[in-house]
Amino acid sequence: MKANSWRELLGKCIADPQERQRIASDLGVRPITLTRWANENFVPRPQNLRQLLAILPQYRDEFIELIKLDMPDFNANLLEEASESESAIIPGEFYMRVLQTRASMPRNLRYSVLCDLILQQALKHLDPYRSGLGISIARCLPPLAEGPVSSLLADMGRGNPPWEQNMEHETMLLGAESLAGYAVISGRLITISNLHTQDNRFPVSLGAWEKSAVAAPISFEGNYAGSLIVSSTQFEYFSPLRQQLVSNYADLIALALNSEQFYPLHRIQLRLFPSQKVQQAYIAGFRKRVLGILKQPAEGLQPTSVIQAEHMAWQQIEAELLQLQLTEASQ
Amino acid sequence: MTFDSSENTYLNDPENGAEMARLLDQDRTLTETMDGLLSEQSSVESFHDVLDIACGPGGWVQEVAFVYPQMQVTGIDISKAMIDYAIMQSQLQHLENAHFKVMDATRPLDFPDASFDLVNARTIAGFMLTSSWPQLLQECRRILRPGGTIRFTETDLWGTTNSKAFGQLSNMVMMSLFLNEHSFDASGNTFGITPMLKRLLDLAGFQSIETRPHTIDFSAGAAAYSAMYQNFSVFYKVIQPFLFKTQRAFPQAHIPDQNRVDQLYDQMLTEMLSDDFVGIIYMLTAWGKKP
Repeated sequence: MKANSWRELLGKCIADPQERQRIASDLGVRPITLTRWANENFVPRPQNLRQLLAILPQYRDEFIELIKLDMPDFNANLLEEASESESAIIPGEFYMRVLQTRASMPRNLRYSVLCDLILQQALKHLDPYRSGLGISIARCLPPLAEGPVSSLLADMGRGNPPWEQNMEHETMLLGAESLAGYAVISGRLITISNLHTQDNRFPVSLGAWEKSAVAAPISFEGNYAGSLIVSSTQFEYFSPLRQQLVSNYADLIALALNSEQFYPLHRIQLRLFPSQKVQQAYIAGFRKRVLGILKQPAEGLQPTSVIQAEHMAWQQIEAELLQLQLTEASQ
Repeated sequence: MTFDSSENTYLNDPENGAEMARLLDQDRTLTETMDGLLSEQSSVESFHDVLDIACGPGGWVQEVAFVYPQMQVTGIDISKAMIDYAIMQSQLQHLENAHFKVMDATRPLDFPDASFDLVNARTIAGFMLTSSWPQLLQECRRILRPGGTIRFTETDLWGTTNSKAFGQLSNMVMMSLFLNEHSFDASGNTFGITPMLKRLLDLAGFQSIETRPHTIDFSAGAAAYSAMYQNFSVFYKVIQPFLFKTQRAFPQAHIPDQNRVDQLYDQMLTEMLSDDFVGIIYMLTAWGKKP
């Protein structure tokens, strides 16, 4: 029987506790919140309702029809509303905060602190309605000697559900197979509006919820340090306005890096890296590796800080993953 | 975990973006630990006007304003820098029901009587003088409507761990806070605030007082490990000026010199990397009603 209101329809959709849990998890709310929307006069935000349409596509048209009975001005099209109301400008107050923090932080905390500050800000700016966004930084992993850069280390991110808050489980090395890598090699911002189509011209390492993505190179004086990658749960999320914002935030991240972390393009020769699933076995023992390097460093390679030991551990992992790729290719 | 000296300035520089980012991360970790924004409250629908005391960069206010659009949520903080930052972030998110004001929580609050249905505060013991608590609670009672709820969440110690260096740094911070009169614990080893919460609310005339404990497990491999590792790596750096200032005022604090503190800091980070590292923070939420 057809529902008489969107609340009644929602009530039917969440009648099964497992389904209620799934929907709540995808929306980033607690199950009790869904129950309150269905049974009480709690009013969800329009963006919550739009997310619901994406999570329950089989009921999309029915929901829209019923929601409009209750909220005649409801706009199911997120892009249209967002592009009208969002600002492409990073507030001057924030630039001031970044510059002040950069000036005052000790060198060994500068990267993590500034990136944390910038990623949190970018997340709120790019996903004000929390429709689902993950944003992360992939930076060139310094080569062991004077050789080329082979990989990008993606070890810092922030997300709105369904991504994790600090995206720590998405830490991995990225190479030429990734959108992040392609943005660096090509030296320009790359956008993919629909990651589910087969005819993408760009290399993509698809995340679980990603439907569209953008990567902007982090550059300084014509050299490159990595890229800022932003992924959305929505198709075609990255309007020109949002692309510009991603590019502006990438420019800010350049302030968190030291000049020696930027490489000329001819020194960036990204290799192919295996999937995150394969990398997990190598990354799982990361802290143990770092401790080992700190306690028993190789001759002439005494790290001066935990951060330097972490870099050395990543260089070990990179070498092992490249060897793995070579071994598999030869079989 | 923001700090304020007797001159009403943060001990951790409020102009410092590192402190803002740290507090925003901490807000999210705390909310997750507490199973949500208002998890233990059974009558959330009765909250229309909500106040958050010492809101810092406004993380909790922004979350409540987003999840409960029917509420009007106000955050106050003594730091203009924090408030400006909170306003900027709220504007970016189009949170028209989030409001912020610069206000000193240790002085009479600039709100009319019976203005709020809920007054919330989390981890404010670091800037509250022990002698300031009764006045703040009286002010909370004044600005609450009859039947309104007061809700405070505190911890006695920012982490009990098996790291020797973490313990030594923690002891220095707690002793410094004790000497600056922020601790109810006569030994100076902890804030001693959680056993006091119920009594303080009772003395201020609140009724139907209840409590609920929470824990943040930041042991190696636990969900909060990475977030708290980052938190403490910043916290024990930005707190250092406060430690040395305390040493100048109170030589009995026995704060070692910069080199030794730096050594302990590096040692703490190394010990936290161990697979055997365990750490936990015990917190208590106490709430009651205005008759």
